[in-house]
Amino acid sequence: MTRPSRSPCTRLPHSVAHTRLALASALTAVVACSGEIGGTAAGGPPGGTAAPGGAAPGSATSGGATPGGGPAVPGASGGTAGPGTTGPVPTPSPAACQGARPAGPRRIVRLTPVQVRRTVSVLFNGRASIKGGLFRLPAGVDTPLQPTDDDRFSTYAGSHTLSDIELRSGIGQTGGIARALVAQLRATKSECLGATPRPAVDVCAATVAASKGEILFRRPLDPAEVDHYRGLVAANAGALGEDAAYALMFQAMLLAPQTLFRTELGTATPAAGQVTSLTPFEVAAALSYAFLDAPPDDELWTAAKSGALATPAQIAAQVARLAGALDKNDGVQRFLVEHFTYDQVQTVFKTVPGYDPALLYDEVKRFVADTLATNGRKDFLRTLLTSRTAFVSHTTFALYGAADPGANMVGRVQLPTTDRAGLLTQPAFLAAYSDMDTNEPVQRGRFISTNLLCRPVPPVPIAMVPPLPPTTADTPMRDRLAVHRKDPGCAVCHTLMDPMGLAFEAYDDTGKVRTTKVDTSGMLTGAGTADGPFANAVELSQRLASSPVVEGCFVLNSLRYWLGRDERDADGCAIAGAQAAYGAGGDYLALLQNLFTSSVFLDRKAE
Amino acid sequence: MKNQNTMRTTRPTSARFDRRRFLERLGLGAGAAVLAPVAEALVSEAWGQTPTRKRFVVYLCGGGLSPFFNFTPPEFVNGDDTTSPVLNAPKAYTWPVMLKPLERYRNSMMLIDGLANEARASGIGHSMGYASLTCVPGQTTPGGPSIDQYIAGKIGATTARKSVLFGVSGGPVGSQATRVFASAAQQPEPFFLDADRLYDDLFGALGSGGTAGRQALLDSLRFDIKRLSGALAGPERTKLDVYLATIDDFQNREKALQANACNAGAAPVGAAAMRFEDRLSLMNDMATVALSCNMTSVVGVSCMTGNPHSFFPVWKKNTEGTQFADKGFNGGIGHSPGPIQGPAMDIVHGYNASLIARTADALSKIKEGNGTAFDNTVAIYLSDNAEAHHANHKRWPMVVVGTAGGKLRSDGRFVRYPKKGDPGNRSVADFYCTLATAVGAPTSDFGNNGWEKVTGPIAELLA
Repeated sequence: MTRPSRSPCTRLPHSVAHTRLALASALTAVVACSGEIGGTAAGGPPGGTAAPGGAAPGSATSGGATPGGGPAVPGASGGTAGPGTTGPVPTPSPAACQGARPAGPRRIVRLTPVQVRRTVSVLFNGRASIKGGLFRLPAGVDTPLQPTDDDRFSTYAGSHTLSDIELRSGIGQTGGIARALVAQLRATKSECLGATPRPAVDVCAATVAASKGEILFRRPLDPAEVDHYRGLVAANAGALGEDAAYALMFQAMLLAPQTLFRTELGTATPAAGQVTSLTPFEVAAALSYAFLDAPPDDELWTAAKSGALATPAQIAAQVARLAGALDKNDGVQRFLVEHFTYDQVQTVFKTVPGYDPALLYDEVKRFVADTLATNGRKDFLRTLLTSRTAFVSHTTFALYGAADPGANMVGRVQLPTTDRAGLLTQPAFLAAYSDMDTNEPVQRGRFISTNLLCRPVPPVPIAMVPPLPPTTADTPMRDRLAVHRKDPGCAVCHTLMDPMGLAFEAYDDTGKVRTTKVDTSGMLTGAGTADGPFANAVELSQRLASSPVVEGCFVLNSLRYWLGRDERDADGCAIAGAQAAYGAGGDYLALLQNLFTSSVFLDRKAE
Repeated sequence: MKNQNTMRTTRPTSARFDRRRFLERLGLGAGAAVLAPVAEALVSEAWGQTPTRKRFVVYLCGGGLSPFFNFTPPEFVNGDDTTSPVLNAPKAYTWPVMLKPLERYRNSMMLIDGLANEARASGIGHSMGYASLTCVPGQTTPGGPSIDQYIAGKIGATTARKSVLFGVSGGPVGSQATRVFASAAQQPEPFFLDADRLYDDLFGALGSGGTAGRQALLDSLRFDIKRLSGALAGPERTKLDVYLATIDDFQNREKALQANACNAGAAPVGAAAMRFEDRLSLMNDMATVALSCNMTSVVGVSCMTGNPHSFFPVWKKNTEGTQFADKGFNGGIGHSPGPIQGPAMDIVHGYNASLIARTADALSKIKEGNGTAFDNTVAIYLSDNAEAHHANHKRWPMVVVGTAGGKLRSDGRFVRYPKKGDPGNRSVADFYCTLATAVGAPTSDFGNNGWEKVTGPIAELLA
């Protein structure tokens, strides 16, 4: 997920430039923080009772948790509102959702480079190879797609298509893949191309197109497609030679939109406003790419072909199987990295001797995986935000205030109750939201507001911002940020961020507990029933962990990531349902099963 | 466009292209000996047939181009302010150290300071990312086309490559560099970080089956795209429309390439293991060849753009014999005081200037019209961080090399505009309008969305 962009009215001298910022948030900045938006009084209660409606960064529609503490619901666009406000749509009542079956948008989703690479690997090695998780390509073969990392989440379908560079290098790369595949098939007696005597080109081309095509297209080819590819081989075998003609066919299949784009279109082409359901093969492909970054394995493929991927129970069972051990699932891990953005620690440069951001990143990943392993199905988010577990190494133990595990060792330790509580107090997270040599309390507060409370804070306004007083050793950050409170134009946004960010001033920019006493107290607002005073980051984390707004925001972002799109107005009941599924016990697998059996995933409405 | 095959059949043997001579002419060193292009421009030279087209090169480097330590001639340095009225200095000033490699071109250059571009979407900081070249908000997601792609869209319609874009980052090949090129809002333009891939793209053989197979392949893709497209509507259909348009564009450019071949010798060997500077140089040479033979009219270079705290160790080669050699020239240059930052960044910018000079040398040796290919070229050099590693983006130093066919008043002058807010200040967007106009893509509102005052080309910079 996007690291919150630099906040308004802040002139801290160093920052991390690797933010992914959507245009929408940039445009929002034009009117934000001026105190002139939607009648929101500058310095008014953050979140509070203001009518929500501010657009989330990168979001076509707004959305977020209901400030009052209800489950997260999507917001409708069109309203005007101030910073910190979220979705205006009331939480759908259970009665309103009873029997409701909202559908998602019909769309096509371009595969990621990793997904293309793994799909090609399966083309060579068969579906059985997926189970082992070893995806290998012939030497010298690669895929041409460029990563698309400009969206909120890497799973977003967005507007990704093929650029001219990708097409050009794709033609070159697929040529190599196609020739290697022909050579492999020629050497395999059980394949049509390797059989002796060799069947007629017409027959063999149709057979091979069907068998390889269903791996690439994730569905059986229709007769017109088979005939098209058969004809391609037949028409060119004379001029190019038989092998080159087969290679041409494979090349055409590899670059075909059916390969490069996963479809979510449904069983028929409905008229505008009509609803259809995803085909079993579309369901299978969506699940397998979500959890494995690969086409369907044997079991999923068989289920799709045999009609055993139709009921919610059948789909839920496949979700459980594909997700497997949550702590080892790439998709789950990737969601947590993108949502909590602790990978940003790798981009922050520091001159502290021995400081190693790669180690901190590895350790926080171990912490998250450990939490998934122990609590992935029970109180997951609450544990993630309050656990005192940490993984420390010989190089980093001092940052955590833990004992040295010894050289070349990584120790699983319990950190002091008074000092740490969960992910937000891990050195990796703190360093990710720091600068070369200073804390970034505004950015930390902004992260919590945007990513945990779903309370977007617009970026800096165009107008010149007042500079902060210079950094001196004896000037607390709280005093320096006082300038934000004095200027109403600044305060309207900074009251949403600074109080929470200052809670982490007990740590330095590497995440180490300071030896000097610092005022870290504040007041949490916008967290519903969890609102209230906190003395430090530990208490703040505990409040956030108990907040229904934070939980709703987590569910909302899960929907965004796993469905690969921003929320829409019609998603209200789906989000409420997902939160109900998760909220009962904090079971993340239950949340995933709910999402992938919801109508917004399974049904598609023509627009 | 001349058909090279036709010319080959009729030209005298004595005019046959000589690989060694061509490399010598381009001034390409050992690092680029892998290239043996047969440039149409050279063939034209042999025959006195010289197509003229404008060429545009934009070269960005991270870290800031400091008007205090590097860019400004010493006699004009005046602290954290720009002068008013406009300083339009004569040519007799001390040439900046960082531009020494380009000094021989100083009478075809301009140094410009004081151009404003604050179209950032977030606060004061480092790289402007896309906004460096788009002039509209959106650092990490483009809010509009970058100037190179705007120009390429106008003057690159008939070239085999709309543009040649490449870059380097401090990490291993494939690691991300900040993206700065965009064809439109929300549409980043990919660029090459890998010299092998760039070579393949420019000079490598594509696919199997040759021309006959290529036609069949593209026809098959069209068939599949149209079938799937029929099931879609709205933006989803647009994705496939774009794919279809990409195929059409590819095919048109392939025809241009066949009519105007730009052949190459062996592919580079060991490029992935090359040092940063060598990889940059090699790719720059490839782009130079592409410019030379009219394969493209637009080149974009993204060198260590972004927030390159860690980029300096990779410049180690260029620090040998300097005060930084013993210190390893390690990170944090942007955080260092002027006495260190100045000469350190002179090394960085000086190396980039040497590559631009190398391209200028190559183009200067190719006759075109009544002059040379260089005469029809303009290259600009800037930093995506604007004036400093920690920048306020109020002034963007620009190095301009070339006159774009006499359209620009690049005669060695130093120009500095009043600071933003003062009468006479001009925007980077105005400057880009000037460049676009000079190369044959006139416009008055590039980057004009209200963030900076955009009034159109800057008259005093045009000849």
